[in-house]
Amino acid sequence: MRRLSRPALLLAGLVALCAPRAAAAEPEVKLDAKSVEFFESKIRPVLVNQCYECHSAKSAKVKGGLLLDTREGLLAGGDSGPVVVPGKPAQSLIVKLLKDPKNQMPPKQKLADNVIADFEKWVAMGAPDPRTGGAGYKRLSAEEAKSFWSLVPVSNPAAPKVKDANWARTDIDRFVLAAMEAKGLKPVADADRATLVRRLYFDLIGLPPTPEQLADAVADTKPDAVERLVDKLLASPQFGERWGRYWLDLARYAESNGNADNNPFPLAWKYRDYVIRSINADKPYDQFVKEQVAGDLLPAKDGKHRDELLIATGFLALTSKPRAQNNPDYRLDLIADQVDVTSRAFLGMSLLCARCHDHKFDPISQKEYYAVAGIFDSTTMLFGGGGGKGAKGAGPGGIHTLSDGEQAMGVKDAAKTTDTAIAIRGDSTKRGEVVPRGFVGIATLGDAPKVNRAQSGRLELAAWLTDPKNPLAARVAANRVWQHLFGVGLCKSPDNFGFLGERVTHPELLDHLATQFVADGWSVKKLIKSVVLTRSYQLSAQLDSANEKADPDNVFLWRKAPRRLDAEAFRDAILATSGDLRTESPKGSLAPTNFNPRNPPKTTSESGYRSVYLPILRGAPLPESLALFDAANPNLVVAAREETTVPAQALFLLNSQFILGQSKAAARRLLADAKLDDAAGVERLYQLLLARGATSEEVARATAYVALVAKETKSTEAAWASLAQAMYSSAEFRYVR
Amino acid sequence: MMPVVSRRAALKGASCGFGYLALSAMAAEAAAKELKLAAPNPLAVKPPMFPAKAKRVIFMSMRGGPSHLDTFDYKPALEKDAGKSVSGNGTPGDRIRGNLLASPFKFVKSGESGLPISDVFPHLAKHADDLCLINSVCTDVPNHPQSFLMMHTGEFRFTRPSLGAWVLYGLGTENQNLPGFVTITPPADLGGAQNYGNAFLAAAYQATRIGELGDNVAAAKIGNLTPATTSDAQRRQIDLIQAMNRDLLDRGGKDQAVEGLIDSYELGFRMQKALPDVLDLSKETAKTLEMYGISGKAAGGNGKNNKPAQAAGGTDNFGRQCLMARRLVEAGVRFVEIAHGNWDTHGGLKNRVAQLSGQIDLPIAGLLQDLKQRGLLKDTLVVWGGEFGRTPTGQGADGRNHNSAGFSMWMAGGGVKGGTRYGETDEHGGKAVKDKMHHHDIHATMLHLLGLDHQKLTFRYGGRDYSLTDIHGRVAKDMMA
Repeated sequence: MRRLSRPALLLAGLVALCAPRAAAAEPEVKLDAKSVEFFESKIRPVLVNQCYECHSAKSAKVKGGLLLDTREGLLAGGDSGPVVVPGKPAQSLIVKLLKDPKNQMPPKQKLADNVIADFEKWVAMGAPDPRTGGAGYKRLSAEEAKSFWSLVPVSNPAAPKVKDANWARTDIDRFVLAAMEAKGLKPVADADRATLVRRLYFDLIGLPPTPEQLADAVADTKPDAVERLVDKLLASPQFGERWGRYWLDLARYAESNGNADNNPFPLAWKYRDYVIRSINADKPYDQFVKEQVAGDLLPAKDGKHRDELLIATGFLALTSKPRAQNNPDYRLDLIADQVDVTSRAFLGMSLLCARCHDHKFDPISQKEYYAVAGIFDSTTMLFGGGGGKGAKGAGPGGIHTLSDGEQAMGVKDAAKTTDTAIAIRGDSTKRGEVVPRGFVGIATLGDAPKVNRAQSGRLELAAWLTDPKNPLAARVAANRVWQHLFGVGLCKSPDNFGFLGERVTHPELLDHLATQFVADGWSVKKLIKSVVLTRSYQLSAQLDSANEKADPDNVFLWRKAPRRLDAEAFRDAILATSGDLRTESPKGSLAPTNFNPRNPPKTTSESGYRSVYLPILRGAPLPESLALFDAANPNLVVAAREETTVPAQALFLLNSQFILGQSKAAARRLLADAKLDDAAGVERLYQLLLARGATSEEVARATAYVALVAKETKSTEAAWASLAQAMYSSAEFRYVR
Repeated sequence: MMPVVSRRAALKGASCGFGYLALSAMAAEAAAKELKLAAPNPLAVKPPMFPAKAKRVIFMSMRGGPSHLDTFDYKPALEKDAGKSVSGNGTPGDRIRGNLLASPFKFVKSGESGLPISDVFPHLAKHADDLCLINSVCTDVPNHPQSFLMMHTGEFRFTRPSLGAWVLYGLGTENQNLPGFVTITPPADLGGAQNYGNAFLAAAYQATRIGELGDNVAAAKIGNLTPATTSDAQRRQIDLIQAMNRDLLDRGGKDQAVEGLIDSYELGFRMQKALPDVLDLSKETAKTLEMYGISGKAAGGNGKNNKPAQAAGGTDNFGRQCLMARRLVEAGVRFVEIAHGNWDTHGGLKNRVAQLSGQIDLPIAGLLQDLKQRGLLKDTLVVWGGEFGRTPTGQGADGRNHNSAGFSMWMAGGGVKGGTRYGETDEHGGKAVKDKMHHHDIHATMLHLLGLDHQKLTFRYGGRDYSLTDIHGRVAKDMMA
């Protein structure tokens, strides 16, 4: 389960929502029956009827940043500052404005004099307000946004001075240690080499080291041993399969449309392979982003390169389309998905909230949303529906044709480009102002690039999304890398860098990483390498009571918190150790490509290929090994997965055909080695599965267990399979320390 | 923190009627004890904070937002003023726009109490004297995912424990061989698993899910429940797993994740014996099946695509959910949620409300009847409701839009005053105006009926005591018998 940091939320000004009971904001004045009655009879009805239209959390457009629908909103005031000074009507803006002939509030009609007198009396009483809770929150104003942590330009801070200068290995360590020292925390001991090797294998390629690889790495005592191991793993083709899957979570990668008309996407796998290839090639991240947003508009060196660029735009076409029938919003729904996936994947922020109204929390106007929407409105999606038939309601068909005559999903510019009119309250049938295509103003970029009117604008959008001056691009990407190495990002809400998101725990460190990332040519591999070679990453998982007391959630990274293997790494590790893993990538898709769109078939985990290649059909249960272990929901842009522990997982490990088969395979593999006696067999299993030797107690326990099961089942294979299954089921196998 | 209660102590408090199951659990416990594997049991029964009538909950979650104006909130003025144009009700984000739309259904004075209930619920209406219609429910946002999450977890902005998880945390569960919290065919969307999740509470408090909304309940299975080997052999294997896990805890120190894993094996082991038995409806008499609207013919769905047999108002699917719910609570499960929908009637209101109601009317009536005759209704809290209601104004000629400012739920059994209407909406039913029951108030009241003080049922997380109702919540004592 993901954790939210309390202080960050409090900082966000959400006191009303988050304050502990004991510390709930107490009203300035005593609320007695009389004052409550006064508020309820004289004040609240006026607020509701005269003010909420513009000053409630649910107003179509909150005016002046002022919310009057909660006590907290009232006390917080708006863009013009506080509106109520309890006890002092003459100094209270609300009273002034009720009377002010020029800036009178409410603007339509001056309130009756006796009503204004009620307000004066109420403020004089101390503004008693019995309202609690409600949906009050304050929107980040444009002015505040200029200094909001994620929106200020990325800085290049110098590494801080640390007391324990010997501890730090790199600047990253200095940032981490300085934060620890400020809290009185001390890093725990370093991880031992075998632990570190297992950690690196899983974190970089998602597979365990073989006993031989482990032994080699542990025996390598040269000073650059770890660095060479890291280089080797980063160069391995398995790296892209591990890190590509993270990207596919964000891309809501699926092999069918889902929703009411669940047509297969028989060509989606080409995009999957493109992602894996790109990550293995360490394609500069900015280039990777540009290709996915506007590959079709980029210049190509040759036919093959052109194919690659077209396949990349599959990112936009993987959307789950709603039924078009009786849905006047269909077009805007498709566009909304494009805007959402683009903004969340690349900017770590969703613009989607501004589809129907100005964003409630972040300074994104509805107008800006439609400026971006126009870019996608000027884009044609090429879904490449299954069986050659465009499904009912699936929208325009069409497909990219590649140089070799093959086809690919993707997008292209529409024959006629267009600007899009605001849909009032998101209703496509009620249109407002037509907004020229453009970008949102949250990222402090200076002059926004002008959209080429003859094109959709995706080319300029791609450039804007990857501009080194864009404060979100590199920060969001660097945070994701950190998240995949430490389990949580420095900002714990990797797809919400906005007002309601979490605040970054190590702002300078994140900026340092982002700056380095851009300076290193947006190389993801270099960034990963710089992180895993730190002492911070190489700490042990050991607990420490003093640290734990001060920082129970390890926010300040005083240890390397153990991580559960994700669904893919868990299954892949089982296959790898049973000997059943097929390391090559399959040609094409493992998903059925021809099925009833209303009833997609169930898919299984029964394949020797790595889990990234398992079939992903929307609207159908995922292969069990993925579904039970919190794999990404392919309908959603998933930036951080849930982590649950439930009996259904235990039952999968105890009873599923998959685990039984794999355990048998592991046993057969073991028994095929005639040199091994029982004790050596146990030792080998421990090396294979847990990347460590067995203690004498463990050998004794396991051999006794095997002997007992063998006697009962009259099968040596069954006995060893049962032991292997128990070890697959153990916490030690499932967690990386 | 949780009191440490041994499994043996917990079993002593377990309900009867599961002799052999309890016995095998005890045998397992003895085995575990020999291997020094016994762990504190987070699901052990805990006494309520104060004496209470309700011991368990059946929550019927009506996904999509059922129209209160066509079911349980009788508004004569809506009929009288039909066609009149109105705009807004002053609550945030309201969608009340256009002309008032009269309900196409008649409300019938039902029971001795004369509660007005729409004629789409003829069977349920016979139990009017057991129902407390809550006509003043409201949530903050008239959007499905937010309101659905608020109704289930109190909050949509952050991941919070679900209502069922809180109840389980507060009271534990009576049968250690079964999950304490079961959800049958919850919607996969609208927050999905978050709606029955444990968030920061121990993993043991999340629900065990059976199928998902849209599944044919007759065929819905919990995967991998058939043991791969004999019970003794499997117990021995689990003991080995747990010994390895305890070694890890000894070496690495306290680790909630590993502890959760340990719990998951114990629960899984017991579940694979007990759960199939409880969910096996073939043990019920034909008369009982009939009472719930479970038809033998329709039992297998329509035979195609594994679709539930409820297309034309069929009662089989929800009947099964209701009967499973009864069997589960009878067996000692603390909290059972059963979902139904989709009640999102933007269009086709007349036909769809009639059809959806038809699917659940007889099963609910059967459930109430059955609970009563088994003496279970008095201490089982039955709750019916969706994430919001609908607008008094029409959306098109035959639809209603979302409305979270005022809608209806009902409760029965478990200490609730039957035959009553609690709270009121305005004359046209757009907004709760009297005895408002915000979702926090609903939660506070449900917890109170279970003997839990919503302000005291807290969990320390990240330096702060959290509760289901946050800093809100009002207990509606007037609803109580």
